[in-house]
Amino acid sequence: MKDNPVAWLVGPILMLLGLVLLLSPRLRSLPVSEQVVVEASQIDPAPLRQPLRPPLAIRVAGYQKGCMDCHALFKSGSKTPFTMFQHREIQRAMDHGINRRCYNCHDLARRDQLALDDGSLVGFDQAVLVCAKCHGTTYRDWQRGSHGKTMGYWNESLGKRDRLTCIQCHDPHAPAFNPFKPLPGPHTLRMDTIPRLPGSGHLQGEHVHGKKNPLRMRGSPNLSHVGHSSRSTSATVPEPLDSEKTESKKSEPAEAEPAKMESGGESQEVSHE
Amino acid sequence: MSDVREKSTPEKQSPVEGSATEVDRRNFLREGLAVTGGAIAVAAALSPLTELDPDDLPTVEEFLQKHYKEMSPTEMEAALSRIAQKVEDRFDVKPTVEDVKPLDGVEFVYALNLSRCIGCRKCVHACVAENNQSRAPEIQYIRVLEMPRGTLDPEQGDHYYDHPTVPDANHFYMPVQCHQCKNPPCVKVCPVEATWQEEDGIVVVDYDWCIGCRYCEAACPYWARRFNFAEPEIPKDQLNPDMAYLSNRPRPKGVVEKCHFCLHRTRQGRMPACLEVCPTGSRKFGNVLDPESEVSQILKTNRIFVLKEEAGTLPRFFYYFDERYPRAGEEPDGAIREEGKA
Repeated sequence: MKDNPVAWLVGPILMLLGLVLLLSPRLRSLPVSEQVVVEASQIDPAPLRQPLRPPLAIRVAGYQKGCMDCHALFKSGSKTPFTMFQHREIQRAMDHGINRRCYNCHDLARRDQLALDDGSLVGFDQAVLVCAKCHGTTYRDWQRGSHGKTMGYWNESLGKRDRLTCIQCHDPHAPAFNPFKPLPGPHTLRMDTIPRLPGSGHLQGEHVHGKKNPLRMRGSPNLSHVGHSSRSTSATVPEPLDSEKTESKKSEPAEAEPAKMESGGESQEVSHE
Repeated sequence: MSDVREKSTPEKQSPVEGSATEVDRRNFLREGLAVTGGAIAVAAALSPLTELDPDDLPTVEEFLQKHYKEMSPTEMEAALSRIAQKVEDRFDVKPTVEDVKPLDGVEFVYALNLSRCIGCRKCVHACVAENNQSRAPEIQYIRVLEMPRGTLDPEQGDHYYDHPTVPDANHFYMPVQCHQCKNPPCVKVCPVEATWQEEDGIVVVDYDWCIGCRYCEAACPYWARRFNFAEPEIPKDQLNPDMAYLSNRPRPKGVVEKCHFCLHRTRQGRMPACLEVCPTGSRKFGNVLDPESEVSQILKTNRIFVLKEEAGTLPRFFYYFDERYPRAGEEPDGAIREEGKA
């Protein structure tokens, strides 16, 4: 032990270790993805439609008119679909299958009322009963609660329950739902800064030394998509600026892919700016 | 005393003294070098501590705070005001932090209509806004799986889908969140009892008691738990100031969180945020102990699907399908209840 030359190496090795520890990059913050901005208007819980409620009124040349103000004067035949000058927007939007006759639902004589099968009249606030003329099973489901939306309080002793009616979600003239633009999908931790390699569909850093990188298993095939899609439909998603920033940033740490720790520090700085 | 030692030591410690006399220049240098190197290595290893932010350290009160169930009302009051103060310091918003207790005679159940869900992900982001989840890194309680039509295999599910519009004709959508199991595997594995099931069936987490071992995250068959790898980042103007101890108060770094059926809302009679934002009315929530509630009616009359039923977790989250035609043997209009009309 006394004259062992290896013993001389202990000190320098420890010093070297200290140097390595001091100089090695340190994970000061985790590499995180850019924040996805979702406008409050996109997650507004208000009903999709604000249907007409009695007393009905229509604005004609700046004046409020009730239905019967005009329809008392102008009589139209019961079998004449869409030959009038008013309500052209309904004519354009009409998409209710074979049910395209106004008087299937509206009453011929009293235009501010809706007609039921037995000839009795109900107001526009009772449109549910008119829909139930044909959509019996859906009406049954709505009454049970399995169809339709219930807002407010589940416990009626604590607050008001608001069961939405048919026409608060469905347009009675075109009841099918329009397609929705989906809100951005998840890109959780470790799924940032992985641009696609140009040409191929592969992701940067997907493979390390010929093996699939376990941290990149799913990669973020959507991340580049998020940028594209939100830019193409910037009318509905008002965050194109943000996603473009993401894209331009993504290209720069692309080379330093193995040195993940450093890129973490970088993204932290960026987020402070 | 010193006399005694001086007398007794010479015989006893002679071998030690013998080795001590061997300290020569060579040994001194060698050992001195090793000791210096060791000191440098230790100092270098500990150097990250100099970057420690004093704000990251818990205060004495926080350190001594008891488990949620063991806190007396006054201690809970103190904890709530401490949390409120911390939130105000950090976000410049005065929050209302409450400890909302379960209601008597209530067991919450969630039902989700797979025939109607269109995968718009509004629930995901409404949940994030309501529950003060971290925006970056991103934490979301709800994952909407997109699956090919004709299968109910979650392994074929994809939650990164990004169509220009949804629903896609060839897929259907299945949102997955915490199922609030009656037999919760996540609760069983927690080594410190930081997560438990409440009277109304909601599985909650005491964020101040969680040690971040992530056993629960591994145990959950629904991938419902999320871990805060970094300090949660919430924009100041997007903070929801309506908070509860067990639900949506800002979480610290290094703890697990999960869906809690918006207990700060639902225990006060309101609907969860994900339900209210759903544009298709696919989501149903209520008290299953009330036979007239929507969820009770759905469980009675609709076809129900339980995700990973074979895991034996007994979820309180049910998927159902629309019944377009009366079942065999059922009166076509026999099941219509008249009081459902509002």
